[in-house]
Amino acid sequence: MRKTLLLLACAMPLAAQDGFDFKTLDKLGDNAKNKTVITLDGDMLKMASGFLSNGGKSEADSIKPLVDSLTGVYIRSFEFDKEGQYNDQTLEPLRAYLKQASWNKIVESREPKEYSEIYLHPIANGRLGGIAVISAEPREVTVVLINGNLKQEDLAKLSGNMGIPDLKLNKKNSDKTPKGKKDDEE
Amino acid sequence: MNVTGESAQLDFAAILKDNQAMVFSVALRFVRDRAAAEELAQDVFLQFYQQLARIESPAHATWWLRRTVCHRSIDEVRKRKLRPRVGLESAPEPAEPSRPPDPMLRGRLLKLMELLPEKARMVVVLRYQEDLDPSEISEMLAMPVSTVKSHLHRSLALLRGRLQKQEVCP
Amino acid sequence: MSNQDQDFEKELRMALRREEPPADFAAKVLARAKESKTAEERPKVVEMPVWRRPLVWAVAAGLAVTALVPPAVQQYQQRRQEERAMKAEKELLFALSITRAKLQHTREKIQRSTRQPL
Repeated sequence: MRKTLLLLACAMPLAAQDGFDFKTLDKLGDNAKNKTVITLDGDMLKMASGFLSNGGKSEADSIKPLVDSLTGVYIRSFEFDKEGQYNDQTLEPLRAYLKQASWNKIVESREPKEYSEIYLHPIANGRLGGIAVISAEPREVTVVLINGNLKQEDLAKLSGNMGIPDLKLNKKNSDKTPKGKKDDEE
Repeated sequence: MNVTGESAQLDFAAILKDNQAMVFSVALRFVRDRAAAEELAQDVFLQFYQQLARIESPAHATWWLRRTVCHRSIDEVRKRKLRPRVGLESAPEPAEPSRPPDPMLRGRLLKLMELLPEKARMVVVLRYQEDLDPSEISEMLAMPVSTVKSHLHRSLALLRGRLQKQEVCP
Repeated sequence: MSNQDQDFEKELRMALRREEPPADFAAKVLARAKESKTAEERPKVVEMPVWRRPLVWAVAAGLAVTALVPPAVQQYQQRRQEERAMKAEKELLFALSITRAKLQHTREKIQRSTRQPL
């Protein structure tokens, strides 16, 4: 089953960000069987960034410069047992907010049962005030909101492989039964 | 299971049930005594219990438990210096083996595993008991992939060689 | 890999099959976990009736507790702060992982529909 992912990235200035009520998005998860809700801004983001070290050897440390440029990270991700358990209209206030705050929709991909939208918020000096992604599938909705003062190349970091843990790693490790993999060093 | 940014209270009892065989078995490969393995496994779970608030998901829990029991087992062996002091031929059979095609062979293999240095032994356990691939083992043990592969190669050669020697000269 | 090697690996996998701990393992762990939680919740300061001890020991114990409590509280607060920071770091990395996954998913969908690499 496809999942509906709503990625909402807001690169709005904090004052404009304050204008958006995230509670409207929380309604999306009323019927969800699994919810992921992350809100990191202000002091929490600084604390998180503080654990990463500049010039550190771990991959996570390599994204510290990117993290230092962020002012807010918001995730709302909901998984449902069956289709039709969330109302797509709930996203309209968010879209309206993005439009009003001059976010540009740079990507829209539509298929019969799912769609994705990517928004960027251009600010002065060729930088980005944030990124928004909305991805909707029949049984999953995910909203990602990232605010900050980003460079264009930070987009590549956000979508690339360096520094950011792979979501699949933990899912693989949850499989306790032998997979019968071949030893690949011979 | 609901995971939220503000609070993530996982079901400890469920995680315990799902992972107890894994934790116990990894420990058993090192301390070789079921009572000691049980004690070590209990300690790992209690340590996990203290960290429960930081665990994000059942998959994360499994990863955390596996990594902790690996490191604790290696430490335990180093502390106890559990090297065989008797000849392999006179070593007792392990208790209650699961159904292998050749119980004697299984016992001999487990005994031969004790010849391996701790890290090499752990690499073999993670590969052939936990079915992790070399890159996952590398991440688990904070060891270069090339070192993982080298441990595997040499350990298998040693185990195979010793086993063949036993079969030729029982 | 030769057949012999494959057979040996198969034997090794069989030898290393996981074993279940004793049947009461889970119960013991849960009992210890509950005990450890109760121990944490107990007051740290042990109250001793003054009349049971010589006055000098009672005063010394009182002074020792007074001296220890502020640093202990500070250490506790510091530890809590570190725990919050570590939790925030994990949440941050998780959030970025989700972001990356969704961006890549979108890119793949576009590539599929256009059949051209972006």
